[in-house]
Amino acid sequence: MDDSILDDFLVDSHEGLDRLDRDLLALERDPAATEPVASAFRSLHTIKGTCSFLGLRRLERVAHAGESLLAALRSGRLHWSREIADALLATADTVRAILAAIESRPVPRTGGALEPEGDDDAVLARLAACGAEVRGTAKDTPRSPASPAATENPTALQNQHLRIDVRRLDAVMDLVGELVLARNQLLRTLAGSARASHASGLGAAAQRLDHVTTRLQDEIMRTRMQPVSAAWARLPRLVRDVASACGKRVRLETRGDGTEFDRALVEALKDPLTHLVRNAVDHGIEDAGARARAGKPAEGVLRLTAFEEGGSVRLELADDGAGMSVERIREQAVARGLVNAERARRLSDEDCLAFVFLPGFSTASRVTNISGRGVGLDAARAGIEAVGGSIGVRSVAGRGTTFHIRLPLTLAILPALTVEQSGEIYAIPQAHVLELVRCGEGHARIERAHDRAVFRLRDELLPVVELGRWLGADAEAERPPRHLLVLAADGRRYGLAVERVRDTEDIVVKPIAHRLREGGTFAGATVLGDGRVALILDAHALAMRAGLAAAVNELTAHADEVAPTAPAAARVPLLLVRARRGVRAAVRLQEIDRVVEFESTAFERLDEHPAVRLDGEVLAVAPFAGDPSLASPGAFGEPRTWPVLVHREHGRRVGLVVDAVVDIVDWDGGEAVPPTGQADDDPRGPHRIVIDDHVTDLVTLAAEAA
Amino acid sequence: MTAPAIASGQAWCTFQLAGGDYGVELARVQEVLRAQPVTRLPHAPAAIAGLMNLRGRIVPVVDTRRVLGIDGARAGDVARRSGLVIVRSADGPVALLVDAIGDVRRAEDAAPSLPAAESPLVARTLALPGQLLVVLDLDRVLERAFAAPEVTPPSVTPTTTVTSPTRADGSRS
Repeated sequence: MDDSILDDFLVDSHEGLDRLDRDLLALERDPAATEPVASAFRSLHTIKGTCSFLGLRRLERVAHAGESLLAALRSGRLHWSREIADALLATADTVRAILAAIESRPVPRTGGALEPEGDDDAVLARLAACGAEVRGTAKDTPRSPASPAATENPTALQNQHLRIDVRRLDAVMDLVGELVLARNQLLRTLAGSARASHASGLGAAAQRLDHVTTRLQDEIMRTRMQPVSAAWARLPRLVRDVASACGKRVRLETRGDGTEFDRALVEALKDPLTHLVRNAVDHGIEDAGARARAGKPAEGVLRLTAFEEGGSVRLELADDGAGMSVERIREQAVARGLVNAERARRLSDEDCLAFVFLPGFSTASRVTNISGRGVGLDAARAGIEAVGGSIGVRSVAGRGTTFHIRLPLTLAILPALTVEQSGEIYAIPQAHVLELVRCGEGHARIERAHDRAVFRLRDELLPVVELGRWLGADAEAERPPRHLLVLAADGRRYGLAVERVRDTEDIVVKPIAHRLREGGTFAGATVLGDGRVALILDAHALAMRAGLAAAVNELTAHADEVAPTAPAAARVPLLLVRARRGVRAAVRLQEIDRVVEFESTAFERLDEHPAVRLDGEVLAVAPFAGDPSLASPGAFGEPRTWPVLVHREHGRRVGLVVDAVVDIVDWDGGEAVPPTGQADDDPRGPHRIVIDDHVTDLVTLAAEAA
Repeated sequence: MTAPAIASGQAWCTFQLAGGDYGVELARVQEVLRAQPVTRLPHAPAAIAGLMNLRGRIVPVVDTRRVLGIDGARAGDVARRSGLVIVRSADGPVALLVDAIGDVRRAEDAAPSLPAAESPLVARTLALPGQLLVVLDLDRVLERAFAAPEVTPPSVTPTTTVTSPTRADGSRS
């Protein structure tokens, strides 16, 4: 037998078992439903059929018994009961365990008995007790002819799909990464000799190569996308098991199952999600008695939502449980010496809640065998941050707890800002960069408050990490920082002072040798256009390792004393622009990669659509807020410069032309009303807000480019 | 104490470090290269010179002098060394930064080996015609390189700088 047949069988069977779990849980909710019975039957039947073909007698026997029970349910001879549900779920577990044992056999797996020795009498007895048909003994299992039901075949859709080995896909991805680097290198070389490239026609060829590479990159990225539901396929089962072990009733609701992102990230999400869900069921949701006293329905609800937002995927896991007591967390933090009592009192509730992500921090009053040993949340955070994501928590005592996870769409290629410091080049993912500010000579300076470096940014005191100092550059060799990047990590903002900002480029993230990664502050490395290696800075780790986490709290508290305004956390920085028709509009600054000015002559037309060239790429531009006058052929006739807001839509850059950039303001997140005539429930449509006593349209860019 | 017998056909890739001849088993060597730009890796173990680009793959560069504790291994020296020996390790390829690449020497050339040196990093010392070759225990060398203590990061809280009060009345200082 070929190993690949076995591999296919293993993959198919795991999918079948996940489907079986889902169907059984659906039956628990609605025992009268017929479709889940049929679907569960098909799943087990397929597994049984293949086992028989592969000579896997042990699996075949278990699957057959389960299948016979489902057949009885389907024909109405038996009726759904809790015992049947448990027996069938136990069947799925037994099959999984045997499959796992087969999987763990060394390759090639052929030759000798594939299945481990073992006895399945316990599960078979449970099935038999419910009325299942159990055949023979483990040693003596007669082959049965395939039952007629075997012809209930999979849909014709399968013909359009191809099963591809993930390693092959990864290899293609690596090659495309190489191609992107070679493209960058070529474009950089050509940019250095504009005349030569024009004369030889190389320039045009390079442009075409550039265009094709970008498309290829896009397409291959899409093939790696997987719906997020793959990461949570097992969660309904987990919720059920944990809930019944704690004697609770919990329902899991999912939304946005179709949201897609890189499969490597889907994988990375599995463990953290398991931790969080387990925690929520075990500790978040109260037992029936407590819920009754609180006037809540006996069944707890766990809601898992996924959606895409501005180049990243966001997940929210909300429970309607007891919530976390900020006061208890505050007490614990003081008791553990994390903060002193004085400072603890000043910490906002949000800052206090962040303590739960620290290793060993647990507020669970009792330790159960499911969770609550103080591990879990820190592991979940580590897992999410390891792939460039972030996690936060909000909780209302008595109402429930919500975890927010943000992940990049893809791990492989990401837009980054490159900076120069002490002769080396570092890259920082664009997603963390909120703003770029000049500092030093002739500009605002970095000051020192207590023993920390700070920067004043529009009435806000921003803690600053000086990259050169932090990297340990020689004091003499160190040149004063001229740029300050405002970075966001863990929902906080801080400044990173660098010698010089170079450029933005799409970088291919490459792993650093495992042994050098532990406890590191680098998210990986990349190869620049000139072939040199640049390290990728990890905004979270940088803040943590530079000792900023505590400092941020302290400074936020001080900033409140200095300027008694609304807390900075609630403010949203907005870019105020004049759209072409003279209307003031605002966009959230975080939705914009950067703002670039172009001469009118820079606008070209590709298939009737205006476009400009940026960083060697063709950037499609559209008028901001749908101004029709820019779509006309003569729109860019007048010689002048046009600000173009560059933002990302599904990983692709899009430019929006505006008449002028007016200002950057902090919006307090106050009331926003949709204009009359627009449906209230469209959150992405423009909303009217009041800025400096002017009515302004707040535009959400995701909708703008759609 | 004698080193294990040398299998015939065994070969070593040799290189120089501070005037001495050293070698590693040829079977473990993937390729040798002339010096390439090395990107410093802050906060890495002291014996890690940095990272290099090996045809698109990021490979750690080990400062071999530093691992062996050979005098004259100063950070500034890295640029002057001219050879890289790319070896295979369990964790992927690793580059050894050396002063210069030497010849490949085979077992036929080997005179009896000298008693094992006291350093655990040395597998054996061979007396070859016209050359004493120190054969390194590659796994131990790599182990030592990656395990070495990290260069202590400078404190981010220098206290000597003058504090600038954030309020006119200086109440914060």
